[in-house]
Amino acid sequence: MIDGELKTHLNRLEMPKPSEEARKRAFNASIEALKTGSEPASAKTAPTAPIHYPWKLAGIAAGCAALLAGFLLLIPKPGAPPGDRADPPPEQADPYASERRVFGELDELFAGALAAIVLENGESRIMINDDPSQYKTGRGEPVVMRFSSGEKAIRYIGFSGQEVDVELDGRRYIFELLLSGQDEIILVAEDFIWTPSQPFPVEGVQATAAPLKRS
Amino acid sequence: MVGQATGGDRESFEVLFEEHYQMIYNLSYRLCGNAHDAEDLTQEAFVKAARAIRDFRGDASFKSWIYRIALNATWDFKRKRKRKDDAHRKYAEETEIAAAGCRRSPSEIVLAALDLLSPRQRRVIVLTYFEGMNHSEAAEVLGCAETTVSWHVFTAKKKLKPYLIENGVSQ
Repeated sequence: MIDGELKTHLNRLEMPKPSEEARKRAFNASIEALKTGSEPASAKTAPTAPIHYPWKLAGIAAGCAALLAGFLLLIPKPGAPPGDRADPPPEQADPYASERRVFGELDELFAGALAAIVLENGESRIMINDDPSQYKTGRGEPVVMRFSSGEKAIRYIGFSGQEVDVELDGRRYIFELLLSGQDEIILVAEDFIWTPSQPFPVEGVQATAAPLKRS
Repeated sequence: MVGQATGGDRESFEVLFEEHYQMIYNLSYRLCGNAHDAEDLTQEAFVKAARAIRDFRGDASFKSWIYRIALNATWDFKRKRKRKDDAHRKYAEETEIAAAGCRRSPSEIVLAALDLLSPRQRRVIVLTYFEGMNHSEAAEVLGCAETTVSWHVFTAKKKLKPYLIENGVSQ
């Protein structure tokens, strides 16, 4: 079944008409509320209900590791509309706000099984630990790295201690991602070591990195 | 119109009510699956909107804003009703086995399929497939990342498609 068919089938849901009495009742009650104008907290902002994901760890990991390998998602836009709120856009205060948000939501969604998220030119790839014993306990601190080279932009969200495999400027690099006790990120490649305080040693490639929870 | 309504203007609010009532009712029905509950939830959403409209700053569209209020109202309602719903679902499963020979309408099958979804999956399916929002718009209404919406849509479809095929709605 393709998406268009799914939409057609779902739209076979018949919509009962609301009664005229209910409509009048709703109208009168709202006009009354408009006059009094007191405001319940829940009406002010976005849905505020706590987020609980009733996913079962074991169920997810085994099934999802293969499932997710080719799953492409839309990259969240850094300047996404903030909704109806007075706060400044998170990007202004936190340069890694969008990555932090994606990481927070997906890490909760996968209940600690998340291994890495790679966002590349508008698409994203999610990697999941397929070994339940590695959930959370097998991970280091979360780290975000941004690489750009010409038109290409890669954002990698992973954990210290991981091997990071990226293709930059037509060449494949494998780094070991480390985080020191002073929260300094160190990328160890076969032929160089890089820290964010230095220019990236590959010509034409810019890179930044930060611990995700503390930046 | 929205600007005047935020100042408490009754006529402007009345226009907004007329323009959005059916839409919010449809949304509530698709989320809760019961006509009487949908009427109550629609009323609740408009009452909350009327009380809060003076603080509506217009950063999001009025439509997105009232969608959020309606989603919140349905969420709270379903949370309170969860225990009852669980008992109802168990009863429905038992009677479904007994009534396996009875033919259900496509609409009933679609409702049963929506009942299989988690609240979050159901909300993204209602917003994207029924309300025609793209993932970015749905993310704005739900206050989450677009990636999260995409993921919920993906997992919801994994539940919906086999159920609809098994139950013959696709034939």
